[in-house]
Amino acid sequence: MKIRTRVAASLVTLITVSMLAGCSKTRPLVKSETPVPQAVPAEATKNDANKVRGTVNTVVGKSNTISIKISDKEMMVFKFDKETVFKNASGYKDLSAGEKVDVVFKAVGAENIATVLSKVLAELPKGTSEIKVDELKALLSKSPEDDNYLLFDTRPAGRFHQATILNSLSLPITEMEKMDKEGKVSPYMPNDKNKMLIFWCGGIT
Amino acid sequence: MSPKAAGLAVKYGYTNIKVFSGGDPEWAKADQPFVSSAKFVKEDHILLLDLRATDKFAAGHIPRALNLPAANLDNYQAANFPDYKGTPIVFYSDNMDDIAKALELMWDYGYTKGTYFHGGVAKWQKLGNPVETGLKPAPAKLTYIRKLAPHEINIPDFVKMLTTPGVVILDARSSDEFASGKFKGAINVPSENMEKRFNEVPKDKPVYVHCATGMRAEMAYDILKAKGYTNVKLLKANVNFTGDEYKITD
Repeated sequence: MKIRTRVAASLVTLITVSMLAGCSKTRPLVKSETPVPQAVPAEATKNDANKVRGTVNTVVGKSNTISIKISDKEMMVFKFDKETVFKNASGYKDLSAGEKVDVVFKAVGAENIATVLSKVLAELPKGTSEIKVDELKALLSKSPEDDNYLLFDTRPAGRFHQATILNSLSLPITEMEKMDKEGKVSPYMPNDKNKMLIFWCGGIT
Repeated sequence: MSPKAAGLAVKYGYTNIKVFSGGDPEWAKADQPFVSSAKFVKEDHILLLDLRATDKFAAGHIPRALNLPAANLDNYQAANFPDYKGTPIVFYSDNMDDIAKALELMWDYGYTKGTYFHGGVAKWQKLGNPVETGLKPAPAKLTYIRKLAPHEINIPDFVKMLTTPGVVILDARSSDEFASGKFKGAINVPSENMEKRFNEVPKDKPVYVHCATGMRAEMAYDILKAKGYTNVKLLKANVNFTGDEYKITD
């Protein structure tokens, strides 16, 4: 077998254990099935005053509950039902740990019922573009050297070591920002300004 | 965070910048494999399985690895793998098809942390790591002893608590599930109601929270922790009731 993985252990001396905002700490707990396209009814949310944004923590199909991390300190649990509208997702099975969602909910008795669960789509900086799973898969079939790309895992180093995408280099965003503040640039940044650089983390932030 | 990194790259003058914004959740959904680093294989508490044939394993393998030749995978049912579905299982081989097959099997059996070490023994040695020789076949039943987080309680200790006076057993399942079978003396606050009903949970006694799998118990635990509870421990295990008869498994 051809050896392609480059291990970035030397650079990564700091193991960042704290969770980065928006980067998932856990592997997805729900494995998606083939998404079934589903008509999204028009706004059913007019009377609902409650709306929060957070990161999916766990989804339990058995009890139709989803827990959402609102901040480091705050977790909220919602029920979903047949009336719940899913946006940018085919259903609850399409929501995984680490994904960012907006929840519109109403309180019924002691329960918070999610009326709308919408996955937040990425906002990319100007001068960058999205790469889809299939394009990334195609790129990975060639080595970074052969195909002139660099792939960066910007999650904390501990997450990189446990499970990363093939050919990724570990470049935690915390390191990158720290260096940037000191006026330095990561040694992983190539001289060739036209080289394809791909960045990924634990989902949409 | 990846858009942030991409933003810095723009600042540095790079012209061809892509963001895979779906990140690892999207990658997992697409059934794509994840690789573990040599550091992880060396230092972490994992189950390491070498999928090569016995003769290759005997000639040199990564220390700690057990030999489970890919040809034998078909004999390993879910019950032959560790009870704990969060076991970090790392495979390696010199045959990528075998690795793909093993990882697929792990998904099918519900394991959430199956990965592989890319490059196998050759890569391992290239990085300057030692190999061991000899046989170490995987047993019919693979085991993994999970290290508990400080806020977790293990099964034997939890069972002891069931008959210990002065402690509270908190059931985070639905009221229907609770009604059809429960631990004697347990109190029930469903996880989805915890946000509003947390006051029903005492703050002055040790509290042990469970559900049917550990997942809703964890939701409940997280909420209680956020509310300032410091007396709560979590049982991450499967709990099944037949009436008030219970069975707890890892």
